[in-house]
Amino acid sequence: MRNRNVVLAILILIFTSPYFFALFVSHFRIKIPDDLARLLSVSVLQAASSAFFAVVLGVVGAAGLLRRSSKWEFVALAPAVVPAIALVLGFFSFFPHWKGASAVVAAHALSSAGLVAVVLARQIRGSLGASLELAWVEGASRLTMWYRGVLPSLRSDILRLGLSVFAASLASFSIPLLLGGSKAVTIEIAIHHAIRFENSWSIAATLSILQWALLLIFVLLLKTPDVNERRPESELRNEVGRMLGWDGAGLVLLIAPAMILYSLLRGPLLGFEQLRSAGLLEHRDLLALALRGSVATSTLAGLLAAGVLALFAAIYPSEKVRVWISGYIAPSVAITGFATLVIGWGQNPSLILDVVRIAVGAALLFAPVLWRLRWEQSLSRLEGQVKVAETLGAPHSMIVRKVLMPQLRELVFWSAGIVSFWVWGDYALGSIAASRQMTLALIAKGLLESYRLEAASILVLVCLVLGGISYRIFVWGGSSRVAR
Amino acid sequence: MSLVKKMKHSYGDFTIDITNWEIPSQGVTALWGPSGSGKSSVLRLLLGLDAADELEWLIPKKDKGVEDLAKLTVAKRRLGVVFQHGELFGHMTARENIEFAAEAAIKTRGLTGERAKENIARFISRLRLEAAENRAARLLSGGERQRVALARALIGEPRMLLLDEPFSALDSENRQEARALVRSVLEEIQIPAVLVTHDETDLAGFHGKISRIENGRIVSERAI
Repeated sequence: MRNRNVVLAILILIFTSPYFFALFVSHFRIKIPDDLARLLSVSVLQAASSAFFAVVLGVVGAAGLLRRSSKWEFVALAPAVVPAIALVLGFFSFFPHWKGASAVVAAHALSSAGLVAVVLARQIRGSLGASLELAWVEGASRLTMWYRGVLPSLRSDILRLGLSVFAASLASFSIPLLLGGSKAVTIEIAIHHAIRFENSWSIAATLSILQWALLLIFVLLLKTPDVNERRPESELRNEVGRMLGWDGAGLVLLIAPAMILYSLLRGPLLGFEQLRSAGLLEHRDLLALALRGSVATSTLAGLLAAGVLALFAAIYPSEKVRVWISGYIAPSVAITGFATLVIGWGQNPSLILDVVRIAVGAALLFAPVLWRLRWEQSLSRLEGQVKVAETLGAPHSMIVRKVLMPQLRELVFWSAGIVSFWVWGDYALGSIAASRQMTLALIAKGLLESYRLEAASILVLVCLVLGGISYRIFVWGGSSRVAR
Repeated sequence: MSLVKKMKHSYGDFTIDITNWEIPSQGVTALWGPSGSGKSSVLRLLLGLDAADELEWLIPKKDKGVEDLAKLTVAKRRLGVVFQHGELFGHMTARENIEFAAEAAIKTRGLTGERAKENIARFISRLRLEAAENRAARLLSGGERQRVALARALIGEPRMLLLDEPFSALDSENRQEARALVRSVLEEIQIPAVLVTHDETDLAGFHGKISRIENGRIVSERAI
């Protein structure tokens, strides 16, 4: 037990180390930036607008999803799941000169609307069956069922989804880095600018703690149990779902996927020409280096994140600690990115060093997200079995080896796969932690910034395809071992 | 006989408060009461799954004197337990579930390998699990699931068996059969059992006593 506590303490220390690093470098000085009021108001307004539009589009989209099979959920979720570079590319393709807070709001809203729609459609299908059927039998119109039945019943779900999008938009980095324009529209970007352009770690640390505190409030709000929480009633029958849904509404969920698809497939010929003019086809060694860098970074990041999560699971912290870990908010991308520069400090830049820095940073950022997404729930599901094994007298190592790991193996590999997919498209962390353009996504970012959109689209497409293959390989690895 | 001299634990606005509760060394001690009375919580405190604020549970040693089970870890208490839904390891077969318990008992309870093998064969046969032993646990019927859970609880030769609503998830036919099986197995292996239930019909045919629990306190006791 003592060993497990020591390992747990070390892991927690590693995960919170970027904060300590920022405080240490700033000599524990708090410095409030001059434009804090503007920054806070713009950030909060941006996040609130993103949440509002995401929820509006999501509710409309849910009406569309109710008339479609669950396969369509995959399309709706795509903008939230694919790396941000794909969505940014779509924006650059359609609105090349649209920058600033409004562009960021639009991108955030389109990116999250599908997720909101899928969650709401599932809630409607899964828990409002009996009451909606009754309303239908009694002759209620579609509009009445929505206004008097669905929306009031889903009020707390809608509020929670809105808060989630708000929190994600407040701490967003990738999208505002390219779409935000010159002035910071999120605290995260302000942290980045404070370090990169002003070398002011005091401001960065202050903003980071401020952002952390704001996000913590939202995590606590999201976790507050709702006393009026609905209990699932019954599944919605297809006929009622079809009556409640509206075909045209689903179109709002196709906006972002269509933008992404169009931007990826536009003018490959012109794209190759642009790659040539950018000197990338003549200097294929640059592309080869970036390909190697992407493969190595994404694979290592996936393995590190999954390894760390598996280690947390092996320790099997108590329920209280598990909830605490869920409440932990990953530190800012910017702070983490700069903190990874400590790795190999003073050494000459090298590909290996860049790979390790990005992979470690990505593991620190993505592991908490995955913990909240699937790990906490999976570990809670196994709680009963762990307790039984303990009462049978099984030592902890035996419980880990025979009960936990066999049942978590697929989740471990899935986690490695999804992190590797995300890192294939990462340009935000890489632009801070890497000493040069050593991944395909970083080269794509450079091409986007110089408006060589077709060339960027080729590289983004390659990133998505190879990222997808990498994901499949990890997932296959997990399931094939189970099958054996 | 063992004696729960003191058991006190606060779950926020609900408190378990029991003193001088005797658990006879033979037969069944039924902990019976309405939903929310604290039955399952008492079981979790006895097992050590929840760390009690105060617990003193005295049990006679084999040689001489008494020992306080509350001072022992969960594994060292040597208790067998069957939960309402069996809580089988879903990725294992029925037999692997039972072998897991045997391996655990070998590692921490001093059960010999030979004895473990004997016990596995004995309980698979006694609990009529031959046909189901190689089936994945997740594919077992409710009755089979409970029989595997019972075999798994007994394989390590516990000093006492704790049963937490073991029949409530079964249909009426399986329920009767399961009651009869538990009764006959307990008579055969001669260890005491604590049976948590809200349904008095579960107690038909058992010998022992009923402890009625309300609001976390034992309010009355009588023979079954």
